Amino acid sequence: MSALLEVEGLVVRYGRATVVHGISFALERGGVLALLGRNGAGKTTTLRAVMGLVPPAAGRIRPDGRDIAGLPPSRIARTGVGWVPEDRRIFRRLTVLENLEVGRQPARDRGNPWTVERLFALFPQLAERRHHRGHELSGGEQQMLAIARALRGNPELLLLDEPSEGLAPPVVRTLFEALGEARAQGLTLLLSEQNFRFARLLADRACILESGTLRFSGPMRELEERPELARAHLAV
Amino acid sequence: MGFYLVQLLTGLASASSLFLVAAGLTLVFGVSRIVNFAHGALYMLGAYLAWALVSALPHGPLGFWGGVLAAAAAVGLFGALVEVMVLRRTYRAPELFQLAATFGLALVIEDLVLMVFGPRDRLGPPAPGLGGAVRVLGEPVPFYDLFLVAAGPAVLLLLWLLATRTRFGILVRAASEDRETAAALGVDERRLFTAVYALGAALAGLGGALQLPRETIHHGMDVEIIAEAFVVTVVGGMGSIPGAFVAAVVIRVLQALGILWLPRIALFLTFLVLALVLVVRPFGLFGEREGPPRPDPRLLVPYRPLPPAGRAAVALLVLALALLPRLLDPYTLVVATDVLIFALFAAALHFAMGPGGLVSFGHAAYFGGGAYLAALLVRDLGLSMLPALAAGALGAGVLAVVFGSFTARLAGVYFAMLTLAFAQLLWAAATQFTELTGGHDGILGIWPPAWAATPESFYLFTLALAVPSLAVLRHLVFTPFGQALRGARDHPVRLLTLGLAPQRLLWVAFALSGFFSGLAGALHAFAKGSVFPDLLAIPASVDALVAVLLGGLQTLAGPIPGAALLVGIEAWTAAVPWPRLVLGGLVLAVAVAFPAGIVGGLAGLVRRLRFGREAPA
Repeated sequence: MSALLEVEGLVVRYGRATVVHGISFALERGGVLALLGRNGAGKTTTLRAVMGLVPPAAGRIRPDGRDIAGLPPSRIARTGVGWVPEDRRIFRRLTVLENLEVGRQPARDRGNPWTVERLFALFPQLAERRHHRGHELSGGEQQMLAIARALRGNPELLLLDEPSEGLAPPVVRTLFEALGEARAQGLTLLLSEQNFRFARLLADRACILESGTLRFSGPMRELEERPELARAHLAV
Repeated sequence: MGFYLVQLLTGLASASSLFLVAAGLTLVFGVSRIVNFAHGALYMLGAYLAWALVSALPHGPLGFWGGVLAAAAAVGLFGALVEVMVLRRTYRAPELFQLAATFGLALVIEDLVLMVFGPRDRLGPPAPGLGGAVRVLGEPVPFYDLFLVAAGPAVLLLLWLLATRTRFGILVRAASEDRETAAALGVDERRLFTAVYALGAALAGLGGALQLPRETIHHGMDVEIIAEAFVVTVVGGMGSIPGAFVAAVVIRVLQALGILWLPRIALFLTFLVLALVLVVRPFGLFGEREGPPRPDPRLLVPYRPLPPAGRAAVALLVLALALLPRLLDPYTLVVATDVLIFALFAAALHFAMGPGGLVSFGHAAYFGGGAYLAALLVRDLGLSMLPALAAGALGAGVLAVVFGSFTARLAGVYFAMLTLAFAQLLWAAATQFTELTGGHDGILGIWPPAWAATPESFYLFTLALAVPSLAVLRHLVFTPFGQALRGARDHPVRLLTLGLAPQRLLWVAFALSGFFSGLAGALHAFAKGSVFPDLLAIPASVDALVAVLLGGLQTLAGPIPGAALLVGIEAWTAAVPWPRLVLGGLVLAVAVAFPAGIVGGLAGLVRRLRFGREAPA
């Protein structure tokens, strides 16, 4: 088993408050792991720690076996970690094409890279809006752009923070199909979700977080067989 | 008619250099959020370098334009070097420290320019091929002015192409909007910051170099342009290059035309435009509304009342201070008086900045305002010292109420800039209305009465006023008002839900700060026997800021040792050959090494020693 990402004993503090209490999980190359839990459970913080946006107080984060805890986010991004933030954070004053350019990492354009053309084939709706500025896009288009922008850097691991939040079901379906296609190209996904149905369709493994501690970690199948877990820790 | 057209062209020509400096300033601010006080110094450096290069290179177009462009490039390279060696080390510190660092940098550059190029003013050659004048509607216009009129829009176009057609430009715009997301997408902030600072510096250098055929190159150039460049960036909207262009043109054209109508108005116009624009559009012409500035969590350390041992120590210290006249010679006692007055001023500023979170770049308005008011009342109404002091303090408090009513809606850097503008307005008034203020000659003969005329008695008098004032400022922080004030700083919305008016609390705090600054200023007038426009100028405001930062923003006692240190350093550096180099270097060293200020740094050290390795909150 080759783990693409190993997180060991991750602790994150904001000031004196500990938000993540020493959690560990591993993610295989090509796998999809969903971090589940309610608001404030520590999902976003965990993803931000992997991205280097919050410094972990303790623990190790190893994508591809090398420890990245403490590196600046830009260096982590360039080791092949893509970032789709919770509120999408599209550059509002930049056009769709310019947003994609920010995501480009010249050094990683090898093999079969995610070119602008391929991304527009993945999200045809974005192609029509290529010269529109970020603030002119709908919520769904912004989410597509956030994913396309992260893919433009040709990551090996994509972090998705609540990708289905606030989106209409048809848009969620588009995202689901696009992520499935990206996965077929060998992409590994780590997502945080409150939408259990979306997560169940996409992920093969799941972790349930509550108040910053791990309550469950295992195959998605196992979680489906134990509905009492989902009821206790998730808003379903 | 022709005459007005010529004035218009002159205004447009002078707008170009101002635009170049402001464009660099706004670019640097947009990406790194640094308000770069050193930008005027970089402009001056560009002018001197261009003078040296053009003089050394063979005459002719190649030598001249080669020299101008090489000067701009050299300033850009210098900027990159400074960013990597100094500024980069301050990015982890609170934003105010970066400000202090750039101010220190400005001082260092000023003395370096003096050291390398000598004290003499320099006159550049005319631009080859662009000498002479053309007649426009019968009036002569220097050909070089017409070139400058075109140079401004040309640079604007180039910058626009850079911003929209190159990867670098796109990354700069992305990082200006959302640094964190850009970094998470793999954009290397360090390299981007260095490149942007270098570009900003090169623009300032080019602005200075292009002045070579137009004006005398002298050592006051940096101060002359920096306040106006700040105004232009704010009027245009911080971070907006087209905004900087429009604002530079509007301001310089208004000045050029206003001077025909009323010669004195030119200096005011700049600041009137600023005040008007910010009242109507608080984020500038092309600026975008930003969220409220997130207070730096490191600055939100809870204040603690002094424990009994501390109170005893303070009582002992005051007693020792009261005994100083027996130990010190008169000269040192005068310095000690300066320290007390300046400590009061710094503490008053700290009251606005620390508990109120109102970062004022223009507190000289209240210090100098109090000083001038007291001096005028003594000279023209024959008031004696005590009523004059009271009037000075009250007048400054009223001034703060008035200015505060304009600034109360603003936050962060826009607030800071408007306070700076108001101070400059007063400074302009003091220099222009010579009948009343004596202009640069100031007002002389403001001496204390006989009972306080000796250095000893005036020192004791100052002590008797400063200690209770400092005690009041400190005590206020622990009253319900002080607690509500911190609430207004940190959680204005929550305060509203409690039925309190956060804006009004901040306004009151600003007025109190103005009052005590005015008291310090009036005391200063009597201590020196005179007032000068310097008391209202930017360096006076910056001195107080530096004292607060030296002491540490998050410590209540900080401003006092901070002021003592700064006055001490200034008294000492007055005797060294390159005072600004030493002072600037020290400020830089503190900003790099003690981001919590000296008192804050020591307090943190003591805490760590006492409690072991505790994570800072």
